[in-house]
Amino acid sequence: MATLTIKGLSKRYGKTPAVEDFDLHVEDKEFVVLVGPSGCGKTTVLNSVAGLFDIDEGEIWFGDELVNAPARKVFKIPQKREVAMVFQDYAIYPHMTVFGNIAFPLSIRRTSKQEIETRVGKAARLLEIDHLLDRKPKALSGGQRQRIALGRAMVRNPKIFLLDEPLANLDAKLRVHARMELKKLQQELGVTTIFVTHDQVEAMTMGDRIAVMNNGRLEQIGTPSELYTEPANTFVAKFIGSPPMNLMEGSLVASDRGPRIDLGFSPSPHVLSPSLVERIRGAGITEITLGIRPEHITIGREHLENSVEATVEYAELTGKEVNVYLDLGGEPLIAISGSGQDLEKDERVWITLDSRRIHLFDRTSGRRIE
Amino acid sequence: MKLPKMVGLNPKRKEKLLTALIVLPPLLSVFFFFYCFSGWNFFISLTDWEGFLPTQNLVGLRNYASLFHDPLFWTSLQNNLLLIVVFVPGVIVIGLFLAILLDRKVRGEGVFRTIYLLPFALSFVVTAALWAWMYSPRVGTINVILEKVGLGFLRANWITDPNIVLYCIIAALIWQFAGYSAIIFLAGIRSIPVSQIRAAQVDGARTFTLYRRIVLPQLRPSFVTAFIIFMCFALKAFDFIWVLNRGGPGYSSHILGIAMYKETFGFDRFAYGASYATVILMLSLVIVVPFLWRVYRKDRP
Amino acid sequence: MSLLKPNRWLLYALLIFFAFLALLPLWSCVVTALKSSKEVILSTPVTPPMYPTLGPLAQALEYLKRPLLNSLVLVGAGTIVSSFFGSILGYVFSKRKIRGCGVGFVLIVLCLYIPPQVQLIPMVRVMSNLGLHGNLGALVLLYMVFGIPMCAFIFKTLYDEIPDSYTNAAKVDGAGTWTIYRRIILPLSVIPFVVASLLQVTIIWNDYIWGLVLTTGMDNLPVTVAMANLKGSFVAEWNLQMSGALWIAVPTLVIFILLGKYIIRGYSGK
Repeated sequence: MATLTIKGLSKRYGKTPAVEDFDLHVEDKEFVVLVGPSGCGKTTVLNSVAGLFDIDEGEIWFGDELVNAPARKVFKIPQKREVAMVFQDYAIYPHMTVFGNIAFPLSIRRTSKQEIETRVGKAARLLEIDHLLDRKPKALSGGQRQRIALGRAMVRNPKIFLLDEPLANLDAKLRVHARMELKKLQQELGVTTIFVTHDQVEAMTMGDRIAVMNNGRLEQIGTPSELYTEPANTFVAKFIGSPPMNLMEGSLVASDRGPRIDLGFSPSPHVLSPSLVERIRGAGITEITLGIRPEHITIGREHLENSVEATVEYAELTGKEVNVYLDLGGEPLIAISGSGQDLEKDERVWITLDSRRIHLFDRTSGRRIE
Repeated sequence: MKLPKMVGLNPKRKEKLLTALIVLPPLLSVFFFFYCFSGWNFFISLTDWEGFLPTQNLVGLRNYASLFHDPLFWTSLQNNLLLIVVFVPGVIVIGLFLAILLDRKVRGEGVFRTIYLLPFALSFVVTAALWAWMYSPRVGTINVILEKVGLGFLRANWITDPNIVLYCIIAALIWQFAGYSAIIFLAGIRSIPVSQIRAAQVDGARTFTLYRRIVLPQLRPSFVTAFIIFMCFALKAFDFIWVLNRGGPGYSSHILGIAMYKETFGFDRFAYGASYATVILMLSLVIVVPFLWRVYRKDRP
Repeated sequence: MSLLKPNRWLLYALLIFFAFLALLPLWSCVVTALKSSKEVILSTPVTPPMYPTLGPLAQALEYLKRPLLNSLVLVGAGTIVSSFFGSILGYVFSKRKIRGCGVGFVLIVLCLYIPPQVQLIPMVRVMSNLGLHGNLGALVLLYMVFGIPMCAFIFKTLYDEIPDSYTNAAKVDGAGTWTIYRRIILPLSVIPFVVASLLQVTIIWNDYIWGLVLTTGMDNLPVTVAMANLKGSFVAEWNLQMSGALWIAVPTLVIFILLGKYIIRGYSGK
C-alpha cells in the first residue's frame, strides 16, 4: 500500500513563500496531477516529497511512515525514501550507456549483476528501448531519453513515482502520443504517481484527480470533470478549459421586475433565472462574477428572448470548430460555434447564455457560490 | 503509526565524517597559508625583529612610521604608481584593440591569437633575459635595429638609464600581458549576443559606431576584470624587475615588491619588510574587496 | 559585414605587425642561442646564424640539468595534488549547498589576489621549523597548497555547468555525496582536469620568487632560479643566456601552442 499524505506543507525561500499550507492525499496506485502556472509551487511540492530539501512546516507521510516533519525533527534523506523521480531534462548521464543509466540505481546498491540484467532488460523491453541498451545517450532523441529516464525510475520498483513535467521537452505531436503511453504504463505498473505539469490539457487527459495550484496554494482538488463543471473559484474556472471560461463582473440590483443581475451592458438581460438570483441572495453577496464557458454560448442572427446583442471581432477556424471573439458592450467574450456558421468581422449577432451552465462566483473572494 | 527510528542517521553521520576528512585538510591548509600568514605577517610588522636577534618586542606601529619617513619607500611607491598609471591602462587599451582586430572575422584568427598569447607563456625570468638582450645598449636588438633602419638617433641606454628604465620595464610587461588582456576582452566581445549586432547593423550602424555604442558599453565586466588583475599584478610585481636589474640602476626602478624583498632578505630587517608587505596587501585589498563583494553578493545563501 | 578591400588590408597589416612585435624577442632569442660566441659579436641580434651550433644549448643544459629535473618534480607533485583537491572543493562548493559555502568560496577566490609578499616571512619561518628550508621539499609542499584556490575556482566554475538535476536524480536514486562524485561528477571532469593541470603546470614551472627564497644549493634550485643565476654570472655570454632561457621557455611555449585553447578557457573563465 503506497499512499502519500501531505499535511500543511509550507516552504519558504528567504521571505518569499513557495508553498503555503498545502494538503494532499494520494491513494494507492492513483495518478494525481499537480497543475498550475509557472511559479505556483508545484515543483517545490514534488521536490519536498522526494526529500531534496527539508520543508519549513507540515508533515509528509508515506503510508503510515512519517518521512518529514520539521516540528518533530524528522527528515528522511532522499536516498532512503524509495521514491523515483523523472526530471524535466531527464538527467540522463552522458558518460554512461543507456544500460548503465537505467542500471544506475541498482548498481549503487550492489545488486547482483544477474539481477541487474534481468530488471533492466524487463524495463527496457516494456519501454521498447531494449535495442538501444548499448548506445550512448548523446545521439538519442528526446522521446528516447524520456523513456530511459522512465526506465531508470521503474527499475527499482519504487513506492511512488514523481514526474516533473516529463513531457514538456517533447515536440507537440510526440507529446500527445507520450501522454497516452505514460498513463498506460502507470496503470500497468500500478504505481502511485504524482505528475507535475503547467499544461491543463495534459492534466485533464491524464489525471485520476487533479490538484490545481496557484501562488503556492492549493486552489482545488478533484476529478477532471469536477474541476471542469464545478470550479471552486475563478482561478480554477479560468485555468481549466481551452478556450478559457468567460468571466464577467456584475452586481445584484433591484429593478421593477424584481432583483436582477446587472452585467454592465444594456439592455440588462434577465438571462439569470430566479433560482440563480436566489443563490446570490442566499450567499448574502451583491457583487458577483459570472462565468460561462465558450461552448455554452449560442450565437444567432435573430433576437431571442434573453439574448444580447454583440459584435463579432474575429473568427478563428480551428478545424472542427470556430472560436468566435465577440465584443459585448466593451466586454470581450469567446464563444465556440460549429464551423457551419459563417461569421464576419463587425457583424452584429445575438448571443444567448445557457442558463443551466452559468457559474457564479463572489467577486471579492473569487469563490464559487453554490 | 511508525516513526523512523534513527533511519538514515548513521550512514548520514558516516558520510558527514568522510566529507569533513576530505574537505578540511585542503581548506585548512589554504586558510593557514594565506590568511594566517597575512595576520602573522602583520604581527611581525609590529615587532622590532631584525637580523638574528633572539628578541622580538612589540613596538606598535613604529615600523609604519619609519616607512612614512623612508625616502626609499616613497621612491618605490612613486615608481609603483607610475607602473600602475602607465601599465594598467596601456595593457588594457592594447588588449582591447587586439581583441577588436581579432573579432573582425579574420582568417587564421586562431593562429594570431596563439601568437599574441605566447609571451604570456613565459616565465618572468625568461622575459627578463629576453628584454635584457633587447635593451642592451651596445649589442641589444632594439638599438641595433634602430641603427640599421637609420633611426640611430633614437638609440638610448634603455634600462641602464635611470630616467627611462621604468618605461622600458612597463613596455616589456605590456608585451608580456597584451595577449592575455586580448583574451579577456575577446571573450567579453564574443559573449554579446549576435542578435544585438545584427539588429544594430540592420538599423544602419557602421563598424565604428557598432563598437562604440553597442560593444564597448557592454564590456564593462571585462574592463573590471582586467583592471583588477593588472592592478594586483602591478602591486605585487617582483620577479621581472629583480631578475632584470635588481631594481636599478640604483633605486630608479625600485617598486614596493623589490623594496620589501631587499629589506627582508638583503638587510635582514624582517619586521620592516613585513610592514612593506602589509602595505602591499592593504593596497591590493582596497582594489579587490569591493569587486568581490559586488560579484558574490547575489550568491548569498 | 562587407568591408572595402583597403580596410581589410589594413586589418591584416596591423595583425601581422603585432604578431611581429610579439615574436621579435623570441626570434632574437632563438637565433642568438644557436650562434657561437664569435658570431654573436659579429652579427646582429636578429639575423639567423650562418653557422648554427648547438653548443650553447648543450652547455646551458649541462648547467641546468638538475634544476630542470627539480622543476619537473615540482610540477608533477604540485599539479596532481592541487588539482585533486581543487576538484573536491569545487564539487563541494558547486553541488553541496552547506551553509557558509558562499562565504567560503569567496575567501578561496580572494586568495588568488593576496600578494606573496605577506607570505614570504612566515613561510620561511614555517619551513625552517619543519626542517625543509633550503630543500626542494619546501617548494613541493608550497605548490601543493598554493595551487588549490585556483583549481577550486576552475572546478567550481565548470561543475556549475553540470545541471543540478543530475545530482538530484542520483540522490533520489540512492547515491550519497561521494558516490555521486565518483560515479557522475568525476567521469565528467576531464576538461576541468586538463584546464586546471595546464594552468598549474605553467604557473609552477614559471615561478621564481618562492624558489629564490626557499631553496639553496644547486641541487635544490628550480630551473627559473638557476637560470637567473646563470644570467648573473655569465653576463656577456648572450648565447648561453638565451639558451638557458629557451630551455625554460620551450615547454610552456609548446603547451600554449598545442593546447592553447584549454589555457584560454581557464583564463577567460575568470
